[in-house]
Amino acid sequence: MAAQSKSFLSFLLALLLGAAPALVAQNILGYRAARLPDSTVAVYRVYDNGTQVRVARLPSDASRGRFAGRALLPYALETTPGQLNLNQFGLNKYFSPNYRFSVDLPGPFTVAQRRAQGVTLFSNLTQPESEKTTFPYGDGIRAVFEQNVLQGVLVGTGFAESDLATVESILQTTCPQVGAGNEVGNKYIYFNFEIGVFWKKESYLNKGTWEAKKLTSIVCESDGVTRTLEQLDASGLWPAEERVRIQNRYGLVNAITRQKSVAGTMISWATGLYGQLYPNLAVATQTSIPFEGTCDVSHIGGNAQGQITLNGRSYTLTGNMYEHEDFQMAYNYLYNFDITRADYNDIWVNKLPGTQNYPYLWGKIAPMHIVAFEKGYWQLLRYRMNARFSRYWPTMRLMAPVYEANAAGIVDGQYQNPEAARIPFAAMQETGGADQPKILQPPYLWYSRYITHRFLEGDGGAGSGFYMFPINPSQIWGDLSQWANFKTVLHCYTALYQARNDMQPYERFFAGSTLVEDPQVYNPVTTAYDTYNGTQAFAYDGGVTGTRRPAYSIRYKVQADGSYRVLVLGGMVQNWTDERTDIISVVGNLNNAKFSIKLRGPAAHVYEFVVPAGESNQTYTANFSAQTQWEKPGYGGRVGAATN
Amino acid sequence: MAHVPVTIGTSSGWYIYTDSITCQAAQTQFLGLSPAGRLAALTVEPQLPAGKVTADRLCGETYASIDSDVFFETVPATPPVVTTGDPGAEQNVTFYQSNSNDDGGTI
Repeated sequence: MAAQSKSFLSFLLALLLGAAPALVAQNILGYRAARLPDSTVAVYRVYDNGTQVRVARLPSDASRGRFAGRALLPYALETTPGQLNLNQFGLNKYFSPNYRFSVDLPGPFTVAQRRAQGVTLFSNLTQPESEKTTFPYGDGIRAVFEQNVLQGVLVGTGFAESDLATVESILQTTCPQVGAGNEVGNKYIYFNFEIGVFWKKESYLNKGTWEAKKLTSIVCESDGVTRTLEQLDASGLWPAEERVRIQNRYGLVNAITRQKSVAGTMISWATGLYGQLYPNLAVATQTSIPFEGTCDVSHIGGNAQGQITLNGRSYTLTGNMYEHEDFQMAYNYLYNFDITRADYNDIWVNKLPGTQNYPYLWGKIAPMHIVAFEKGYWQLLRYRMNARFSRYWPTMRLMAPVYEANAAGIVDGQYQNPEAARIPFAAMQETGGADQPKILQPPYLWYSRYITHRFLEGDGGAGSGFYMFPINPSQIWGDLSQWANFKTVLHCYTALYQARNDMQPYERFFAGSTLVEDPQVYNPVTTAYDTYNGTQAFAYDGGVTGTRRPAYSIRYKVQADGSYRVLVLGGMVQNWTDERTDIISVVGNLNNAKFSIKLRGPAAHVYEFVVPAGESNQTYTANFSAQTQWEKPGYGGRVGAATN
Repeated sequence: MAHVPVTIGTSSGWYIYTDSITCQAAQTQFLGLSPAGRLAALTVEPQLPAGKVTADRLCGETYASIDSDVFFETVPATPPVVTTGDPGAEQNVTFYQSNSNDDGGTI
């Protein structure tokens, strides 16, 4: 009896492990062949659900096919609150060191386990204390917040108000020494200043300190004249003075950090050149940046070349702070979501049975044009890099997993604080007067955000990457279910690893590939091809949303046999089961190939094509059939259990 | 004096060279330092490993005001190990269609 049971179980196991892909696949789409590093050829049977299995050989009648490949791993959703089943996508895969991946949520995992899961960058928040002095250089990133550096008299308005020598003396102590000691692993550092660097009269009015401070005298660094703050305000010179003072101080942060740290340290100001906005047509071509101005020490004891001695130490402070930035932390949070009044009432007001869980809520939040958002934002950053500084530098996309607004939900198009403010689920309520948890973003947004940035950034080099910041830096270790924020399924986190693994087959492809940011897209209405960028696809113009268009980009690389290997990224805001098919191409390139791309739902899609050498003017198709058992509202990619 | 961390394959090592930051390449001497010992197990190396930042590059930078040790991150000295289980290592990808599907079955 026991032997029979074992045999039956073995049969079931074999069925699940070996034949499951064939059983769950709807149709055989064709075959994909590739030469492996040992020169053998691997042949895969490709199914129209995006899966493939390796087979012995190409069929005898095989002929070149003009269809797409697609890499989608099944994501079996966790059901236990606080659980992260990140190992399900496979371990110890190759990931390029030229695109780092950081998630500030170690939970129960060790550094070694996290590396195996695909994490390649660890903030100082996630480096265990016991490993800090031995952390491999280049695998660490140092987060610096205002309170870490702007201490003593530099708190708040004191940063700008204090004279430069005072600022220097404190920064000498508080700026980190990156790359040595407890910071030995940290090559990257970002300074997230949010208060003292915005120095205005309102800074005092808001704190109620204006009357006490207005007669304080400062030597203005923009012209060398001594004025009280009240006189500065009356002179109309405050904005100009603010620009110079903030640049001089950022210049000191930059100089002192580089002096104290090891050579090769890479600095970011954690404020993207586009600020924190939707991609917006109204400001898309403007070239203003968050911190204007240039260093100027010529009126306070320095010279026109920016050389100045402070407390016996010599500095050269020149230019705008972004001239000295090595990588751009693409810091742009998502603030709000849209939901209907009926769904809001079900979930927040009436708390109907079946509605009090994240998968339900995520399915009810209106889809957004996430690929256009991320593509537009990436392009807008680079537009300003080039327009203002005549160079491009790597970007690291940063965001926390939640909607940032205190009241994030926009109900039936109307924002009424505090509607849909915080999570209503009873199991997630904070006690003791703490703020209730913010709303976690749907998994498809994280899935798509990673894919889009990974695709566009390519093999970006040191400083390029993706960084998920924590909800709360003090809630990242151990059993996550101990905190209200995590007393739920954490699919939005796992979806990020799902995306990383869905893109993994292309990790070696990116190096040497060519990006076509804006291929031409056929417009069936005008019967013409349109070329437009991500911001235009997002179609948000100063608060008014126009007609959205699908967002596409292409990457290609010539293979050893002269063919083009082509990756297509696409996405369109549409309902979960809506589909559209677009024809795209690159003018005068890729043998005049056209690519017919089907997009289903709003998440990012990536397809792989091969355009053979010598084959021109052909159409290649990505026309996968719907796989309803593998999809779920609020999610991207292939979602479901392997036994689907 | 400069510390130079390098990565070779999957193992990390540290290298130190003994001249000042303004050295000329010809004056450079390389000493290997075990990752475990950091300040122990120094051995003379004939040269920096392949893929290292060169001494010229080192000397070309301006670090005159730095009085502490200087570290350099380097590119891997050898390409990462490629395995047949790594789909990203595939070359000459081609797509085929078939009506017979006599592919010999899964392997």
